[in-house]
Amino acid sequence: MHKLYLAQRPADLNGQTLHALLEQEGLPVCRADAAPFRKKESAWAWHVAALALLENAGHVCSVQKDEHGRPWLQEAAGPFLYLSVSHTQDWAAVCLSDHPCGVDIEAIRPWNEPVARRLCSPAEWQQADALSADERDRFLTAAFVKKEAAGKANGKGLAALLGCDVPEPTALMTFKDLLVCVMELT
Amino acid sequence: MESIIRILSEFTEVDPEQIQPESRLVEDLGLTSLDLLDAVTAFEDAYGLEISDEAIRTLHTVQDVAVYLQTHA
Repeated sequence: MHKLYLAQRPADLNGQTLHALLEQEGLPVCRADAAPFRKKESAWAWHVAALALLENAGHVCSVQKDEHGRPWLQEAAGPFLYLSVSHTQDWAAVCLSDHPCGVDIEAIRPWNEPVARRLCSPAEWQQADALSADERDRFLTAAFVKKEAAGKANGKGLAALLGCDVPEPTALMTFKDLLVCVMELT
Repeated sequence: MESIIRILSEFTEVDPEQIQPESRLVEDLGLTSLDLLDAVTAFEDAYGLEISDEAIRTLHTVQDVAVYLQTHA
């Protein structure tokens, strides 16, 4: 079982104002290791995660990492023990689950052949190669979010899944020009 | 090192002057998996070599990239 949150960062909320808002609310600003140069995107995603935890557990749980680097909730209340966080552009996706999970959100984008060949399994490449340009971009972005979500769920990361087929995801949806994928290990 | 920093700057939008050999690709520069996929292909084009999927997993810092490219180019 999972719960997925999608939230767009308000355009007037820059890194500085978001930081001030979160401090005022006593919510985690971002992970300590969040990349400083992309702080506002990361901070927004973790703000959404904090709100999701407040809604579901009644408090902001401590986020720990297991031996595979997967985040889990130390003081979880209710059914959700695991979370996964992703962001792209000004959108954040947060998934809470009772199983190890991975979420990825990406804008549908153009792919050049060398990158696509590295990403795809032979079967995926054969499928992609038969599509029109627009269909191929969507297909390849879907292939990417599936592998990224699977890599987060199993803790091995995307690099271990390049060129491989992955199981069908728990959910794959199109939202505006974005693709969102949830993978739960059950 | 200059061309590595230029390529990384292009994908991370981080000012080249802020990228140091010890900068961590993910934690410090905010390189996403998708950026890394694109950057590796750009390194392959620029240096005329192939970087295996296994090798990608060993690239954690700018210095790691430089050492890999120097020893395999």
